Amino acid sequence: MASGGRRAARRNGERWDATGRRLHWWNRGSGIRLRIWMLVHSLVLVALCGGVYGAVVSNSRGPAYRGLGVPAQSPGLIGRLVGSSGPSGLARPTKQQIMEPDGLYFGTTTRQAPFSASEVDRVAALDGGVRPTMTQYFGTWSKPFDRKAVADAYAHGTFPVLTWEPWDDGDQNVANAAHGTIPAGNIDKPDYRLSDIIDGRYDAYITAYAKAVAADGWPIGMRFAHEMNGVWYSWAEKVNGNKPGQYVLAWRHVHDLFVKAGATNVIWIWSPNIIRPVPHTALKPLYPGDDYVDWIGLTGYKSLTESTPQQTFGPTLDEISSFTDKPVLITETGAEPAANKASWIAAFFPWMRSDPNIIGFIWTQEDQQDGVNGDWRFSTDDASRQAFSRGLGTLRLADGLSGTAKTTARPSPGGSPPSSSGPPSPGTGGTAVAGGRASAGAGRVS
Amino acid sequence: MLAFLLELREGLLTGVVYPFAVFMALVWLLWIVKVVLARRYRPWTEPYETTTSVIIPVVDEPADLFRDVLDRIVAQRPTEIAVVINGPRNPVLEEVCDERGVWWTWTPVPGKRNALKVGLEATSGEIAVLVDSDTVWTPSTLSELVKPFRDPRVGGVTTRQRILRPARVVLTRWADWLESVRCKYSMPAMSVVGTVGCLPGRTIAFRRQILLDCLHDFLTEKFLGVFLEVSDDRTLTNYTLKAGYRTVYQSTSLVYTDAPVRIGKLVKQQYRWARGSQYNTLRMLPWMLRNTRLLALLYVSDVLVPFVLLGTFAAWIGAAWRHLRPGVYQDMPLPSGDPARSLTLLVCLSAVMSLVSIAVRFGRHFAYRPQDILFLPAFMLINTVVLLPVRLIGFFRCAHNASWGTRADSFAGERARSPQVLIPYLIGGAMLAGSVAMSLYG
Repeated sequence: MASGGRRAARRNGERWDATGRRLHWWNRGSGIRLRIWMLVHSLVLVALCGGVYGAVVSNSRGPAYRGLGVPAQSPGLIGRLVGSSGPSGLARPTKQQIMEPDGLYFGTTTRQAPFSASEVDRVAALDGGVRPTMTQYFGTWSKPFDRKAVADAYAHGTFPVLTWEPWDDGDQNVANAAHGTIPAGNIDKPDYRLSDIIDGRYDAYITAYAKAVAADGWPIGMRFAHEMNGVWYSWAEKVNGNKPGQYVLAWRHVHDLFVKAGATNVIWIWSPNIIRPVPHTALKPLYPGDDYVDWIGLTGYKSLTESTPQQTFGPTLDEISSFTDKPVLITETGAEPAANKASWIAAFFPWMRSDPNIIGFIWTQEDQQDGVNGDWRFSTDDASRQAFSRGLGTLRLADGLSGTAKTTARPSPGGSPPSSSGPPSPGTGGTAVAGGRASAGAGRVS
Repeated sequence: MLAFLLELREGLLTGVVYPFAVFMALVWLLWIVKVVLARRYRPWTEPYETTTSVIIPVVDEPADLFRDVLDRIVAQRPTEIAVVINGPRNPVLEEVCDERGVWWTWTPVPGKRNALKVGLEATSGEIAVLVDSDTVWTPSTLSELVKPFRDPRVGGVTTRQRILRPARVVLTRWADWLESVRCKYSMPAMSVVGTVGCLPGRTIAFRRQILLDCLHDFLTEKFLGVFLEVSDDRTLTNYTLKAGYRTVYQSTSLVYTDAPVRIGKLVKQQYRWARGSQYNTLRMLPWMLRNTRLLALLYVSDVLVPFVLLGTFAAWIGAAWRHLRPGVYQDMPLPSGDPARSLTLLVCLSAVMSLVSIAVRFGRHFAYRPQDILFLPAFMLINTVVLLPVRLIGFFRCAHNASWGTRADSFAGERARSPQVLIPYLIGGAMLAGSVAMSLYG
């Protein structure tokens, strides 16, 4: 490129250009300065783009999963670029592996779940060192599928259970019917009637969501339209202009769209509330059918007067068992401070183990400040916390690797034969303690 | 740059087209085209002897500045000089001319176009050099400027322009940056193919015969039903190109010019240019498509860029309104559960990558003026807040012929209205709708 340097004039041994600017080796018009500038900056730009691109590609493969209850290895930027996942990271689990656990699931719902690693660490610190293997979190129909939520859940060694609410959002502190008031904003949602779902108004959104779930590939628990037997959410048949029979149709509609979109990595969790606050609402007419459901979920918090978990859950489980024998995951439970809290917790673990159909529980480790309507944490007093810790120690927890030959790094795509056929029998490993999982983990190297 | 990269990847994976990615791809594509061409550019070096007539239309100018302008021109000994004072009489400037022994005339008809006609008729040099009354020559401006006319195919030549004392305020620095970038990328690139689309009017040299041939059209020809006074330089360039001549850029012929130091004046100047330039783009589009694809590409993208950017902003606002996490950043390995740190990291990385990419794209300026990098945020702000809306409005209103610009009293044509004034509105509306639609449903 030409510049004034071509017409440089000599004066007193120094060179000047036509505009009276003194010329040096870098601005004499030889272009050396420009070449150095371009070289340096192009290299920096290429390095930055390459680095970011490499990191993104490696990151999008998800965490280096090492099983549930074990934090994934998350290599740093350099580690990712040099070689992702590495020998100790296993490929992602299949839906089958999650469906056929070799133990029970211990999940938590925390304020910043599933994003916060420190909350998972904190739960483990409070319960005597056992890391949760499930994370429950909420999502509404105003947001697209959040791949990062799923990746983060697995990165903390937890299986993500998404409570997917078919509305744009409701008021916080959803009042339990037993507590009296229900915010009108939660049940008056004319844009989100069950008929809207059935008639296809949200098909484009649901399909896009399902495709994103399918593209992500990691298994998720889909707790869609939960507590439908209550009267406090807009998707309950008794409110919001909905009609009997519509819940099942809506569920099947959504389910079918997911199947059509190829989202086979979804575990469908049909999750009513325990019948205590709504004893006259039958559950069977709300059940979409065994073909549409993988697990039964259950919301059941200890009331102040209940002293055993059998009192809390028994009547509901009895009713459910009359129409399905699908595995049961207690998706929400907790207990407020009370004189009988510790004894209820102490009884919870043996009670759960005694029912082979129960595959685990998710404890709501939150209080009023987190947006729930009670202090449900197991750690409100020492006795309760110790009862929880002791009980947890009696469980054999699923490691999310069942069905894999534990010495191979990658499960075969079709899924290896399950360890047992038929419904899982998590009770069999009841005597193993949490510490046992660590040694099992150590053996899982390729 | 970071967003561009991530959106490109997302686009490849899912087929989603992001307006911003389109915009950036366009910017880089144009850059590559320009750099490849500009690398082949060489200024003309052989001296050329000819007769030159310098024509200086002037309305009003501070006496000191005008004296300086004249002195520098006189010093280079053109064959003749004609100052054409147009509009109201201006005794001060007349006196300056007399004092310096420069021939001047006065015409009551306002407007630069008529002044050019008057000057052309009063002179006879083979090469007519049109000079703005505030343009300061450097010692060899004229001798360098005529060199390309050695090639008989060359019909018009323009100079390299810089801004006087650019470090005065941010606006002058910005204007200097724009001029510098133009002189180092698009000008030499277009010159290599012999079709500089607009020979900027601060100082241009034409073969006198070309100007005489097009003079009638220059003063009367309408497009979209109106005669537009603005953008005389681009119009003359168009006639030269249409007459089959080459228009070129001589980088060794350097002139300095002033730039507005106040935002109001800058807006008016840019609006005038935006209107004239886009009016002429529409006018020349069929010819450009037939004869010089490069010009068509450069000028069409010049019109398109503000619209695509607007679509991008619409997409961003739409996403923010729906409280969406920007999806493309989801795959970045960011610290979990720590939004503040994630955001800081993202912002810093984006800023550094943008900076480096701009350092590359405008290397020919920043390599020699690295201190201007510090003003980049200000430049971008001016580009977005001032230039973008001005260019958009300029496009819509490009067929309105009522003059509104830095020279309020310089309008000569009849004030006409034509139904064709709607055409730019229709085209602009379509582009706007397309751009916004792409951003919302893309």
